[in-house]
Amino acid sequence: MIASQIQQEEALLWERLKAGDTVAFGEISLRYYRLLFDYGRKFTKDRELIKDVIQDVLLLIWQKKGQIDSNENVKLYLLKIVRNRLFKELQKQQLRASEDYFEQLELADSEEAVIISTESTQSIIAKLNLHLKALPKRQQEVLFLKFYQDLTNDEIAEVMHINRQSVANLLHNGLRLLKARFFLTTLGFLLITWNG
Amino acid sequence: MIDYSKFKVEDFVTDESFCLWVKGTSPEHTAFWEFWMEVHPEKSETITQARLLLLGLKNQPTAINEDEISLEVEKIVRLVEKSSPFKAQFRLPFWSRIAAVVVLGAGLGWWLWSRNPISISGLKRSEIATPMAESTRVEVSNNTHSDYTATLPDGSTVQLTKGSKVSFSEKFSGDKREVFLTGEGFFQVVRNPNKPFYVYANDLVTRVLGTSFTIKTYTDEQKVVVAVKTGKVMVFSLSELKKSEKIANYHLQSLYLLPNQQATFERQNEKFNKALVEQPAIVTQPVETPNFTFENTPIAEVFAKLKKAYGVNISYDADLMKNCSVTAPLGNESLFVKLDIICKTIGAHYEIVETEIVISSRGCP
Repeated sequence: MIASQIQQEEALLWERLKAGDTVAFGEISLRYYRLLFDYGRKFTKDRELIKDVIQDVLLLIWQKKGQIDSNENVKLYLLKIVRNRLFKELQKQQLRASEDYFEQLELADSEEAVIISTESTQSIIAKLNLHLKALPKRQQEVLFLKFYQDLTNDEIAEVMHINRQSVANLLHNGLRLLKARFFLTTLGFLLITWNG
Repeated sequence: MIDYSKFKVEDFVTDESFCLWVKGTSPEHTAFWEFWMEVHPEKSETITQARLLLLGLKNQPTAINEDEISLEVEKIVRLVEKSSPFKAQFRLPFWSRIAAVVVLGAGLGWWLWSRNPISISGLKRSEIATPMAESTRVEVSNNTHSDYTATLPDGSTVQLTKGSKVSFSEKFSGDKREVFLTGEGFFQVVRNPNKPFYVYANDLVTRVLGTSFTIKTYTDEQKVVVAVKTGKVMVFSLSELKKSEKIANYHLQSLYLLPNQQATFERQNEKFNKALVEQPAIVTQPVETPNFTFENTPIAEVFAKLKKAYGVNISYDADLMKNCSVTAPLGNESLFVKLDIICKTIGAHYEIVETEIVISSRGCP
């Protein structure tokens, strides 16, 4: 019931946006910004680049507002263009930058993720995220789209331009790897704590 | 009916019903899983792990905070609203990085305070602005009837009054950020210690030393007014700047402005007048930026500050140097430039011995 209420509200916002209401446009932009930004962070640590891409994509929405079908899955559509554009930009950059781009990226990511917290659930989540960031890039992306963005396997396949089976495989392998690494080290950690 | 008894951790994590149970919003699923757990105690560890994993996956950290989002969105909406009558389509600054805000004084009613320009030596020439010679220039002029805020390539902003304009290089490449102002502009400068921010207004050059500053300039009149609310600002004339570029070790005649101070520059005789602004405001110093403004500061205090800020050990003969004091408006120069300046003012020398800085001095009168 709550979900449908949100959907209704959003449909209304889209109608207003299509009528040229900038306030509705702002509201919609606010709703999607974080999802798009966090998705962008899966590919680059260059925050400004991500912001530029999101800005372009949102402006595109405004420009094409007359053609938007409110029934379409907008989230999926936005994720797709952000991904495509970001890839294009990164490809351009990579021609210029060095090969070890992704290695640098992962290091920076893990630094960021080291969250020191006294609360145990929080620290477990933080630890899990460290392991998450050590997974192969595409597994990370699938896990992100699946759990953070709540996409279905079909939707993930569409965003990533791969088939459904590949999504299932990436998901399964990613989870298995994550489980193995996470619980192994957690167990190790607990043993050390217990012994010490 | 799915047979969950053969499920592994990863299978649970991707199971819709299981996810709904962990989410806790569906009484129906909660009831089912609680019952299932009773029947399958052997799976309790698997379930616990799956729950943890799912929680972690759902709570992947976000890399952007609310403020940043709303500012970005605000910027985008503004672009849409205005359909950009100006060329400056830059991003909105990340406001939390801006340590302070600068406000323009009215220029009227201020009183003369000091006519003595402060001399600063030891600044490396590369730290002083050179006139711009970059290819891609952006000019923003406000032809509207109200104020317009232009965003600069680094996220800093200039609020231009009507009829005012600024020009700058498209990307702020190089080791400084240089802006040319005609008219009146209210600057909010994003802190970047590695790239000092310069404003050229007529024959006056304003250099931002600290995190933020304030400027006001009059174009037609024979004077320029620079007023500071917070932050540290250095002003000097263009001719002084040019001299300093030609002559090595030239002592640049400049004026140093602190919060609530303003300077009026008379173009004809190139004189500065320093005054308090009309309405002095309470100054809040940005926490993270140490203040390196020394006015008759005992040397022990000066060194203590540097020591704390840079985390280096400075050894000196405190007894011998007890009469030494320093007056120098230092900002975001490097530690060694600071030491150069300090040593010069008290006639001392320094050398680096391993990780320590050793000061030699004959004391001060």
